[in-house]
Amino acid sequence: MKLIEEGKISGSQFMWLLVTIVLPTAVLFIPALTIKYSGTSAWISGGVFTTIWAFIIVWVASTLGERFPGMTLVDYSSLILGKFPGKLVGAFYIFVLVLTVAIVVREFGEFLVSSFMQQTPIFVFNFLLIALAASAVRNGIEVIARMNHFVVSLMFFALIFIFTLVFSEADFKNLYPIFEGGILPIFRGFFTPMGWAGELFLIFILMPYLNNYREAKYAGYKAALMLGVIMSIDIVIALAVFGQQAADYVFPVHTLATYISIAGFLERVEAFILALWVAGITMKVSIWYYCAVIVAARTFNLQDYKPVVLPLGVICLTWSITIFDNITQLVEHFDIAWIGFSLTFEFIVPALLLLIAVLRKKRGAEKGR
Amino acid sequence: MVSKRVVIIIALILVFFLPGCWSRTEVETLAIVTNIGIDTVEQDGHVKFLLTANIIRPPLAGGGTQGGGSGAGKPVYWRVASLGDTLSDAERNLNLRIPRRIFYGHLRFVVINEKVARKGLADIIDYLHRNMRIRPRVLLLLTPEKAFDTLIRQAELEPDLARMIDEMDRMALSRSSKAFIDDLAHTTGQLTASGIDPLVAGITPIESPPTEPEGKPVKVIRINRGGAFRVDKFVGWLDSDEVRGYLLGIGKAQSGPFSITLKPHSHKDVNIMMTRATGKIKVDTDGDEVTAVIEISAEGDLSEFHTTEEIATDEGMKILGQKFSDAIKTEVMKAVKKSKELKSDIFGFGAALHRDNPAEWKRFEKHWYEVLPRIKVTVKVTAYVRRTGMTAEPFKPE
Amino acid sequence: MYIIGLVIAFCGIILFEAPKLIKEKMWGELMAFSGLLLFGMVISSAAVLNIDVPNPTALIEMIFAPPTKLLTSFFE
Repeated sequence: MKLIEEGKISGSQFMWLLVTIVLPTAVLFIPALTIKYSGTSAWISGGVFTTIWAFIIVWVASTLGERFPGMTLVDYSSLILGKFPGKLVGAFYIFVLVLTVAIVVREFGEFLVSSFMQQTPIFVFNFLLIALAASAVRNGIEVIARMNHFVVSLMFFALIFIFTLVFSEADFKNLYPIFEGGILPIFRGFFTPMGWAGELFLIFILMPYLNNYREAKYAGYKAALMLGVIMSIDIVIALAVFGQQAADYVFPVHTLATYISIAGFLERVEAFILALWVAGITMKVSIWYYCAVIVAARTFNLQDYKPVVLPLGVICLTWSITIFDNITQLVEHFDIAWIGFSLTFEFIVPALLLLIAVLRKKRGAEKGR
Repeated sequence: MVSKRVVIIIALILVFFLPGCWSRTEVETLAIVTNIGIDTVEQDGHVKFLLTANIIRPPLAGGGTQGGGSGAGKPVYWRVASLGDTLSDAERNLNLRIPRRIFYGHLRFVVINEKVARKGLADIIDYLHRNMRIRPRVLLLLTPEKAFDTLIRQAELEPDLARMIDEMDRMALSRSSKAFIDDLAHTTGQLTASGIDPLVAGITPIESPPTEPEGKPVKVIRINRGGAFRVDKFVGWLDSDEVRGYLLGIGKAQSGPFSITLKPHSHKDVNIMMTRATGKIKVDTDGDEVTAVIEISAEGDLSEFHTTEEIATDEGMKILGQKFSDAIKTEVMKAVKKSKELKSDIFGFGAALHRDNPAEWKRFEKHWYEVLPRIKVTVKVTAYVRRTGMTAEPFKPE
Repeated sequence: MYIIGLVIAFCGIILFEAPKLIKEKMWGELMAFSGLLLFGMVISSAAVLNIDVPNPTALIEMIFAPPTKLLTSFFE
């Protein structure tokens, strides 16, 4: 069972990769989308519920991975379902991953164009991001993991920076009443962040590159918890500073950053935050792109994954520009269709694979490493 | 090695991009707008927006040496205005007259004409929020005259109006609490939230006697009132005392002088300088009755005393404290009364009810503005006078 | 105009990857490479030439929007 790539990463690197898989775009888009439906209880749906959901996703994905240690997704789905359906699963995931990369790239471009550089065509940002990510992917998972370790700390710094500086503006009265309108709006507000929290399903694609596959589950839980805490703080601060009106902003966190003003001189810090943000999203795209390439290479039975990097990049780039006509379409897509779609590839397919594997008593050979 | 050669070629190409950026805008090509004013004008039967901008005057070409007190004393700001069907249209129409790109990045405040505000603030807020250069911290002000005229008034002590308003905003609460300039984000929050209405600082244009020897009278502004809104429409003014009552009620007041009458006089004979205050609003319902309790606690120092009796006793301080809390109560009640009169929920009684009791709020939400004047408001004040300043007993002329 | 840039870009990608693959006789890789690149070429030239091609998100929306709407309608 050849792994295509010989790179190996440690447990903590794995955990940070998982954090980066979700965080950079989630922090930008989730508060507005959740507050829109759940109002003052948004932190429950966006923070608490999503954490529970992330735990479920982590459990499914890592249990599946642990059953087949050292095997990639395409290999064990062929083992579980038979050769052809296995390849079909692989093809489905190539589509999913490439499309997600395209969407993430689009989000990034939209953010930059609408809040910083209105005159620049979005193609420029998307192209640069894909080119950078392609170079990272060609260098392999170890390089991505190390770079990510560095970038994620910068990202955390940027977030903590925003949250502490804007804290004096927070009015926690805005968080009341909790549970207005009962539990239903909270669930409704939970559906959109569900797609983001579920992105942790990438565990079962990245797991074979872990030094010790038993660390995956634990690292996944830690990442889920960390994401839950950050998202809760994110939503609470956005609500406390802006109130319900936060739902009307496209990027509440960016507006938070523009709102910072400490003693009249620490102002206009959003450009600095943007710099760290771009780094974070580049890492996110690199990881997703890498997963897409790996799955593609395994599905087509390649010896080397590098030849498919650029063709997939071209597809991602094209899609990133053509899939949506405008930013509202993007937001609406997340609001409606993406919920069902993400549920399918993040939860239903892995869970079905696991279920069939258990029923047919398939399991990978324990390799003495 | 092919790759090495490729890298070198790419690096060399990239060198050409180093000296500049693609969409750069040099500062010499920008017209930096420090404040704008918004009016509406009727023209050919259509209502058009009149956008007035104060732009920082660029240093004159070949200005020679600076300093030495340029006696001419030309103001650093420059007023231009243009008409447009929408505000964005008016903004770009400015460029039909001036040769530089309008830059909102340093916008400090927006003055809105009272009549425009009476029609509704939502359109203006939308324009301000959608623009990526305008920050949520931009201050909002109302003016009874044309904003076009307000923006040419003299700035005092500061080089331009923007700086002046900015500094006044910074010290309004810590000096007198009689004025309060709120920013765009808060005002929008109050506009969009149900059960709370915004209060926007108001300008009074005045003509001041000469401010320098042999000078002429100058046209200046004073910020001494607040414009109350119902939903997004301006409905009436609060004077500076009522503004302070409002600030005390919502817990934003910090410091300020309270003149009170100790003995039955026709004039006020004691002044207490408030040093800190907190305020909290609780709203409850009982059937169709809505009751609100405003709890305020304040502290102050004695800063002026016009009678001669002994005051520096525990008893005396208690009496002063009592008078002080009465004064606060009166002020808050005045503001509440005004709020009821104008049917403008600036205190956010509705929002408070919504917070504490969402189910009850549902019942009243539809006809809240009819309920508002009927709310029974009680003000509970606990106020203490802590210190007497640098003298204990008043000086007794003998 | 843009199509020329596109052609140059694709030539660049092919020159970058293909010679090595042919030299090392990695035919499977070459197949995957050309297949995916062909797909990329089709959709990108279609985008440049303003030809409508089926859009993946439209597909997703067609399949998943109705059930999702049904699901979310319970919670509103």
